[in-house]
Amino acid sequence: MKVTPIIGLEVHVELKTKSKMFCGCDASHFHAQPNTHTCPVCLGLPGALPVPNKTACDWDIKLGLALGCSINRNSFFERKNYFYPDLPKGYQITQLQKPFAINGKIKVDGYDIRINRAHMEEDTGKSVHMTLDGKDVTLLDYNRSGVPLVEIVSEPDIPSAQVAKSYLNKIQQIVRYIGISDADIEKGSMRCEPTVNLCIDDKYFTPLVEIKNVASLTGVLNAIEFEIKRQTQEYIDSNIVKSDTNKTTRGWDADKSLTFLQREKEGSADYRYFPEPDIPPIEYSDDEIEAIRASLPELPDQKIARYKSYNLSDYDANLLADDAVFSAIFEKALNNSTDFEFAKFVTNLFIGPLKTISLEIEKINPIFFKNIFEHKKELSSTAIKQLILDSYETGIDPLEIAKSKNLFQVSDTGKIEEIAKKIIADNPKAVADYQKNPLSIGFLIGQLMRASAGSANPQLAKEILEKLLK
Amino acid sequence: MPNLNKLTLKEALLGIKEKKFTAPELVSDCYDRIAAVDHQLNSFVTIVDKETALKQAQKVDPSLPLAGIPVAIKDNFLIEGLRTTASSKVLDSYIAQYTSTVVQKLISAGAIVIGKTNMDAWAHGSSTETSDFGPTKNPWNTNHLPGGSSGGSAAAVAADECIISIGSETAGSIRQPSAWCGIVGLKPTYGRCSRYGVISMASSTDSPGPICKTVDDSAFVLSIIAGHDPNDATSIDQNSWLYPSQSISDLKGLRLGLPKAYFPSEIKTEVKEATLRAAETFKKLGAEIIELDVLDPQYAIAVYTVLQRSEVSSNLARFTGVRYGNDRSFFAKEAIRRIMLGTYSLSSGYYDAYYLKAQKVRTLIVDDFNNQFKKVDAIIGPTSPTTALPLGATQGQAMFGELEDMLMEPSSLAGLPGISIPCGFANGLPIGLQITGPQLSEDKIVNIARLFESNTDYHLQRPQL
Amino acid sequence: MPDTKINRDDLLHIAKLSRLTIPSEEENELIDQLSQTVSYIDVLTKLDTQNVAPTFQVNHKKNVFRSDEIKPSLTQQQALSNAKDAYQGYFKTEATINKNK
Repeated sequence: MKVTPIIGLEVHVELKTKSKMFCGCDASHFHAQPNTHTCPVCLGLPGALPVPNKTACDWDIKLGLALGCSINRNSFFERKNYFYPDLPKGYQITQLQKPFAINGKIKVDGYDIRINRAHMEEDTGKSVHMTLDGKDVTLLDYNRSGVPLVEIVSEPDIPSAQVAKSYLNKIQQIVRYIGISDADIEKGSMRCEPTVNLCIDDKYFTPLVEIKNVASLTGVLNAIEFEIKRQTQEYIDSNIVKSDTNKTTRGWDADKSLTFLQREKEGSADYRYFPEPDIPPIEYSDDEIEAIRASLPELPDQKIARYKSYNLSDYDANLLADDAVFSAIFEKALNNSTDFEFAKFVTNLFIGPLKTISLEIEKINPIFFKNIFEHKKELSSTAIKQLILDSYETGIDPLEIAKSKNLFQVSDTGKIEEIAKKIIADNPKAVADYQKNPLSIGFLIGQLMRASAGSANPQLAKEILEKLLK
Repeated sequence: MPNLNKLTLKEALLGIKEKKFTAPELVSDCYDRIAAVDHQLNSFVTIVDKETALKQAQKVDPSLPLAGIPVAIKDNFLIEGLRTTASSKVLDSYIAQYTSTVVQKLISAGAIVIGKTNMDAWAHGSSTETSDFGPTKNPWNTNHLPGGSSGGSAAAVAADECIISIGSETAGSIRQPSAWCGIVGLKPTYGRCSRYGVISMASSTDSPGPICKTVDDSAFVLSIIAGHDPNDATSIDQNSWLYPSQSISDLKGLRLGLPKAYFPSEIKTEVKEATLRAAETFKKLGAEIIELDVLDPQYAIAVYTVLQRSEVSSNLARFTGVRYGNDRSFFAKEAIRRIMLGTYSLSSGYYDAYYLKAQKVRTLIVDDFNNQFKKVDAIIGPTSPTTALPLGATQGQAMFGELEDMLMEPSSLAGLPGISIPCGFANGLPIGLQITGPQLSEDKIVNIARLFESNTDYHLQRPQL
Repeated sequence: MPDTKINRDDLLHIAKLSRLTIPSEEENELIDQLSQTVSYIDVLTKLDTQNVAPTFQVNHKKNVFRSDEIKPSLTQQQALSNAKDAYQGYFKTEATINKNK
């Protein structure tokens, strides 16, 4: 039996605007005292009216452009009507017919994943279920109510759990790159809901299952893999195929590593969408869209491609490009050089010693990197690592530090030969050992290094000793 | 001067300025009047404590444009610290946490809020009979209704319980009770006055506006409460409309349209005759009266019923008793009817047939007005097909409000400004005339109304209570 | 008797969507009244609107925004001032039946 997973992902990204989507309340709600960032609008008090946050809308478009979407110049908000205590107005203001961004595409692990839409909406409040005085109650905090969200919906183009995880990584990376969200899954500023079904034998389709409550990237991977296995077995047992009315919602239990049925869908919910009468329609001009496009930074894929053009490996390029801030610091050190060797040299420092400390771009001096590179033959690799850290911390030119600490290795073959001849003369037993076993040259190299107070270039020392002992 | 409550706004401002009496004396006379008659009328849901109001009147800065003027506010406008109920038991003990923009402007202009007036619960009606706190009675005949939904505001003005009042209109709720109570109701262009802090009924037509004793009074109050509000995305940003100082002396060259369809079969004979007499008055003043063929108001009734009830069903979803007020079991019959029909017309399978279709027919209504205003400068007609109906008239009527307001629904759906002024009486009950103009033409219709008023004396009549 | 377009199942379904409970003794009256209203609004079908765009915004406004600035919020006390039930700064309500949406 051939099983082809069909996976779509719905991702909600919380924008890090200063204020909320439809009112001026502070949008940062993490760890705030409950119900201290609310106002008539986001609390849904009688008579309150929404006014949209321009920056949030601009950022939705910015994200749409980064995802390769077309932008709907003419757009409007709609009401999605349903009752739930964390939804203060009894409706959510969102976009249905005219999302700001549609029909995008990104490449993930070699696959083209199409983006159906990236639309603007508001978040709900938070509900906490607990038992107080023996009664089951729900506690409500509306600090999060009204925070701007962009909902990104992919087409069901994702072929595996692993690609799903990569897709989420990529979305997270892009969103952080363009500076619109922290996209932190643990903190809830990025949330995902996979929808999974299977194609059996290229012919039959299993019912759609939406999975809720996945709180980490690993969770997404595991939940999807579990669901694929479960649906495969269910199909074998029951032969039930997808219909318009048998989509279900299952919750992911991370502790038990399984999905459980949350509720049967008796038809889909009737949200009675209609255009939001309190908010006039929106029209972005071509100039405005182009200005937003121009404000996009170089995106991760473009950066990786550029780094690979410096002859860096896939792995190195991906590592350097992963974080926009880190890559900016790397590029300051690189200082527009196109020398492949220099690029590799700087890369090794960044993914080596410099990865261990917290870097500030102002303290990076490209001349320091250049100087060390030009003298690298005279320095041991240990010395180089130490020098880059010291010069970063102190702001002193590494060449000066090397001089003062006497780190320059002697590469003068004449000098080394002198010392080598003396070592050979002083250590006849070691020489005899070497004649029997060439690998024992290490002792003589060690002696030479000691005699030179560590300043001889060990590679050269080895070559010269071997030459003299032939 | 006794009975200062009987003064118009203009007279009251002049009297205070000329130091003939003080603001606290004016406020006090209104409270005396309320104490004397409100048990008969039930105009008020909440009366502000008299001492509080008097203190405010004493301290108010006399240079402010409405300094010391007692104002009654319809109970769907939020005022911080005051009970705001929309005349529904759902909000029986709700104390507002902020003040609506319109009321804030009045307070900043020195007006003294003396009470919140009764209305059809949630503004769902044209009679004030659906109030959860009992109907308001018409001061001209307390066996009759005052109209609605701003019935309390209209009754309070007609009975001189206050000097000015504020109402709101979704389709008829300012103009119709003003007609039934023999006073002036001015519904501005949609978006002219901010809806922020007004409990929403139909978001796309709700319009706050003044209900006053004379045309000048209502024009002056409009100049205070109108203006762009950044808290209301639908408020227009044309310059705040200024109180017109240039009145006109005749209507020469003015073309007034009189739609045939505004005399439906339901119309009371006296109402028709009063309207035609008014047309004659306009003719004498130099206007040309042109008979118009307008789009049948039955379509406006259908459009309004669908759109209003749909928006209502969504706007009332926030009332669940969790954050404020009582739970949804406290909704009364009329609200339930409207919410249910609204939910139905928005629900899947019906959205295209009802809601979307209604919005398309709305375009036809807007286009029709645009065409009419190429032929005429303003449109006149009766405000209501009848005079004030007796108590109990609305019982069991599934669509009383929408049918009663048929003559105002078209202009409300198109967002047009309209004014109702007294133009006659029938069996001791007032008859109202409406004048409607294109969007933003308040100055024109006010001038026409003022000229009519100065050539008649209906506005000088007062009910005997 | 108007055409009863709405039946009891419809009524209960709409009531559920609206979070309203209709007392059983009022069901029939409400069905009649809703049906009456529905036949009234059916008049809309008489007009040809095939090439007509809907009017959602009657005063032609567009692009109304606010800039991304923080404005003062209500205090926690003000926010909770009308709550029937509160607990340590939270609004409190009976447990919702569907714990997950």
